[in-house]
Amino acid sequence: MKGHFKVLHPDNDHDLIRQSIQGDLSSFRALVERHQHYVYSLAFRSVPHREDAEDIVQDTFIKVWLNLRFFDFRGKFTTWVYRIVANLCIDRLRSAKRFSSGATASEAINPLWVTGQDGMKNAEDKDLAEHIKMLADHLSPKQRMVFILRDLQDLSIDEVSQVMQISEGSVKTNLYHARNAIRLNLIKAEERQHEMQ
Amino acid sequence: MKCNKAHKWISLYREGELEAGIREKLRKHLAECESCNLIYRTYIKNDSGIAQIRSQRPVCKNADSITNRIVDTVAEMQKRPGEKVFTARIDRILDLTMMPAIRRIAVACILILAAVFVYQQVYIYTNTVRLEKQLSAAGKAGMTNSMSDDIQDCIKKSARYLSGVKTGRIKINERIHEDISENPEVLMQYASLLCTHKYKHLENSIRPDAILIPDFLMDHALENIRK
Repeated sequence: MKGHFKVLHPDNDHDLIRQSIQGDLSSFRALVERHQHYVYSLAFRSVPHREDAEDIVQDTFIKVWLNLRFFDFRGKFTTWVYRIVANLCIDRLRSAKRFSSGATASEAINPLWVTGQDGMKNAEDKDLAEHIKMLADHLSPKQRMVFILRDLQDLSIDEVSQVMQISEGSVKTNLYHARNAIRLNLIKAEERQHEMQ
Repeated sequence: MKCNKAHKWISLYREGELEAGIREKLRKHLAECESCNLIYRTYIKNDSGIAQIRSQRPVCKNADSITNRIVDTVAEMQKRPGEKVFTARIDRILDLTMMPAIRRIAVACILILAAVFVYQQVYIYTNTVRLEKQLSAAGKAGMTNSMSDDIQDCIKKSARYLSGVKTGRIKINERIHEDISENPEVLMQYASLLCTHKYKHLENSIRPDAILIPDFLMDHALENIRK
């Protein structure tokens, strides 16, 4: 198990879910607090605005509450929640694309997404990371989501497949297209830089 | 392994997500092919950028207020349980069991089916009205305004049935179909068959003076009953 999936113990989730279904709000609050961080993390990396990410967190847990009774206890809660977040993010990206004027996503709106904050070892890596972030904005919502789940959220191919409800083969294909598009655009950007020098 | 195939697998090579056979073939190919090896190296280089992004753990500064908002909303919903169950079912149907693309296709299909259904109903209705008029015209000579409700009802039902035939909803012999389409009198005769069927149990009591019905229609009806 990778990423956040290994940190949280599923049995504790199941207890909290059972109590929440009974209407226990303090259990539901505990459930929210327990999973809010990675829900926000995925939303923040997927949508352009910080406010959008916060809205998605809120919408996600409202949906979780509304659908708790349908939760299949054989599966993992984290996968189920990730699925809700991913769908909300894809919907948000699609509607944002529909109404956007061409400029994308992360430009100057989401300060962390554009500039980064910590963990930057050197200028070259920082440039590369920012380039990749910007290029990820130009991917289709599905490819972008697969790329974020696998490469940034560190989920396994199998987990991505469960979250996105697509086959592992389809995950690999989307991942290939996403990474390849980023790679090709990085090469083009490097070539332009060389020409300018 | 050819280069175009290798390109597809290179991005997954370093993660151990490939099957052993493909992995081994790719390893050999990368050792021999300089251009594919260059692509592989660019992926490795990009990995450091991706690792940098991954290391930035976004922190939600408003986590507490968001949690409070969520719990407040949920508490509010608890006061309206009926609404909660209803929206939950809708949500489940629309959001959780399907991917967005599938959902959109499903909605499009439902809308198309609904449009076809409405069109069909409107078409049948307009046809029924027209056929009723044709039937009335055909029977005008022999019928009077005091035609009984039963007969009128029968004619309406016949017209509905015939409109079903015309729209293809009800399948019948092609020759009869043509006759019915062309000749209002045949429509009337066909209607008489239905009348006959409905009133078969009244065989002995049907008399031209008992029910006001055109002669030709009555003859036809009696003939059918005798058969």
